[in-house]
Amino acid sequence: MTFSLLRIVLWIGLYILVAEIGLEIRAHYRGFDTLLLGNFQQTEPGTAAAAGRLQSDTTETGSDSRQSDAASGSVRYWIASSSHAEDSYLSREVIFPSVLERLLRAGGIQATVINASHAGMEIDDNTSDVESRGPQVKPDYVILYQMSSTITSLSKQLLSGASERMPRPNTDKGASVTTWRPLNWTVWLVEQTAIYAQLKGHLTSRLATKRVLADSLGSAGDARFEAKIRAFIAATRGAGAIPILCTFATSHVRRDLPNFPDSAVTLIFKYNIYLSLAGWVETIERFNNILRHIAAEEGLVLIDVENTVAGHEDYFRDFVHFTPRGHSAVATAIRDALIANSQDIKRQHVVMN
Amino acid sequence: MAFNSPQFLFFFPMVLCLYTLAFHRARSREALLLAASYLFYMSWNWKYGGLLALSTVVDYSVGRLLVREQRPNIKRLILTVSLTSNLGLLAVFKYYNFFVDLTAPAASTLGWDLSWMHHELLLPVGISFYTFQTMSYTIDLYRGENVCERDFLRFAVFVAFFPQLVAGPIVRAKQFLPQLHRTPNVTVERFHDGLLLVFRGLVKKIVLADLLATLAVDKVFAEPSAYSSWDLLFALYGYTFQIYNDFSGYSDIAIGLARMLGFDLPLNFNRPYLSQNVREFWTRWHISLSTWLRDYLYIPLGGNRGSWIRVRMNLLATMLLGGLWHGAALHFIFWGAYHGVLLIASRSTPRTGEPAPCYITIARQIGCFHLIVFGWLLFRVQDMQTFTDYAQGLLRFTGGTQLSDVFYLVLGGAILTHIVPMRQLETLSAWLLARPVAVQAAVYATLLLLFCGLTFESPSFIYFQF
Repeated sequence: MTFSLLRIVLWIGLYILVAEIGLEIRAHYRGFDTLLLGNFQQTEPGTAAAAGRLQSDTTETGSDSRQSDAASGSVRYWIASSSHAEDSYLSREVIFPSVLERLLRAGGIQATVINASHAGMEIDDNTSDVESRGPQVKPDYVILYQMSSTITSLSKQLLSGASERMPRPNTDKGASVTTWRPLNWTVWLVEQTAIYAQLKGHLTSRLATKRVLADSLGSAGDARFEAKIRAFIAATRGAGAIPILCTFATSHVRRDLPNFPDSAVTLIFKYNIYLSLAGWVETIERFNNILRHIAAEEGLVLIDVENTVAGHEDYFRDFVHFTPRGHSAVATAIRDALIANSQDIKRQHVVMN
Repeated sequence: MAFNSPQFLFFFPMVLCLYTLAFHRARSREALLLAASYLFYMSWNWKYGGLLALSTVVDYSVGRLLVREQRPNIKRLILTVSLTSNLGLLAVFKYYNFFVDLTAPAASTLGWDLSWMHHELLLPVGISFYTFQTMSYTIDLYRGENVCERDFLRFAVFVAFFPQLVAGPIVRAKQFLPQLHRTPNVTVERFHDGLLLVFRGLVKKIVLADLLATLAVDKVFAEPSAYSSWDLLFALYGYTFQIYNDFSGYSDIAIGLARMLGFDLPLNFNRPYLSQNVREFWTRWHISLSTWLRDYLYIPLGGNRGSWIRVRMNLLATMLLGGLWHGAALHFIFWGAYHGVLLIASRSTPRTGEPAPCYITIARQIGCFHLIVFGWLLFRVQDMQTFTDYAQGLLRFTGGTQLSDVFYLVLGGAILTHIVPMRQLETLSAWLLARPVAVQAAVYATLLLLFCGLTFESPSFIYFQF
């Protein structure tokens, strides 16, 4: 046996490498970060937004990479979300935590908005984050805007029979927040390639629509979601802050079910191959009702982002991520709710302290 | 590290490179194969390696003792040690909890609480395969049908050889050990042929088996009451071809990988759903297990010798144990019993020996196929309640379908690849193998990308659990 026998294996590797490089160059010039060519530094807001690829990991490793650096001594709002608020495709100035800070300051409130959101996080991650860093950061209010990652994770647990993904703390560059990566480096490597992203987006997600999909997560899904929210509330209060809940908004709602656009469908099935479109709509409605119920029961402020933003296609670049207009609308909704409930919030603050 | 996992995509080329370097030094080559095999096996759980090593050491020692010993009684005692140790491993890791759970209700009626006896034990991947393999070695030695392997390294490679370690084919020592004694037969033709087999197996696994499972079978079996009789029937057909393509795909990959390394493994499947009766089916399905059961269980029980009733009882006992081999659950035992009854019925049918007309042959094939399909229902369900629900659903004769066109398309493809004459497939293979290396590689690279796009979550091979 000689190495010349392995020529065919090398040829296979070469073809795949050429395809990867070609796709990476294409992706790079469209504004995406890639495995071999690295991170694309975006300068113009919104240029990459329409492409719709979600990053599986934050491109900035600092735990508060997009944190506003306002003077200390102000009221501290902690945004607990994921890619919705991190939004690496848009410039820092247009994402809703930054807009919110500007709006609050313009209204005379000396506010610091801490954006503790990273792509791939779900409610449990936000809860762990508040538990671990809350005592040091000392937020006054923790605003939770989170749902789609949790629906995906619950779908996997309840509809596939697979066990929950195991966390692996990312200790790179001193990051203190737990980020989520597949355990095996080979899987991680494959998942970072442009080929994988293209195949998942164009083939797997389309094929997923041909599966027998579930129309609901059932009562088990409701119970688990409620438990996650209650754990978040407990963790926030444990950190000496006041929890504020937000309902979740999507670009298309029940009335759009017969006409969901391809871009939304592709994104949904790229990440979740278990729930049907109707299942997504149903689950978001149910979970939003759970949020309303818990907020009423616990005496918490609820910001009804769904009512204000959902169904406005121009606010979304895909099913769940905002355009700059969408970010602005969300920030305004949060600001309005905070001002409208300021007495209530202050009272809670007094009780807490 | 399943064959369809990204890890294996890195692991095997690495092994190939090192194997090429070590190829001309026998000890290095064998040491490399052993290290690669243990690495492969321990990638599931490092603790599994201990069990594999234990089984290897025990059977190697038993083999050495057996050839030295001349006294029949002592030889029998030594063999008993080997059988007890191998079957003991299976009994503890695979069947212990099953029997505890089975006896617990009866014990509780007597006021005994056996819940403390239930322990969460990890079932080592492929334990049923390698214990059967090592048992065949010692039994053959005891019978004088095998030559003792004095070299521990070679014996360890025989037990742990990674292409067939976790899901077969079950290789006999007399088939494999002689291959380790000579330089492996690696040629360009055999290497390319092996690679083609690997890709054929991957197509069976990823394009046919996994798609059938994820598009419909898993969901329908999870909630049979939600589907029409039509859907239940086609999901059952889907499972029939899923399990065949899953397992025969694994066997193809195993045989292909071994061939690339210069070894030959026995054929494990021969288009079983074209059988005309259940007896023929068992000469075409999981051939290495059915011949193992024949040689080490059915024949020692008396085989075809003895009274009419004795022969039937031998058949039934063999199939019951064959069912139990697949898993510690009642539905596997029922599946074994069902096949035992079918085999008994098949034996009682007179055989003329004359070739039947084509339409009779096809009618027999369709009839036999549906008997097998019904058996898969017993095999697939997790409990008897699901079996009842499923069977009742089938008998409601309701129409309408929730299954997608793509499912029917994949099922059609699976049926077609099963019934298309072998020579057509061989012609296609020969055509590809005659192309330049760069063209063959382009086909394989395209297939690899296709596999990536078609894989939802890399489901494991069904037979890993056995």
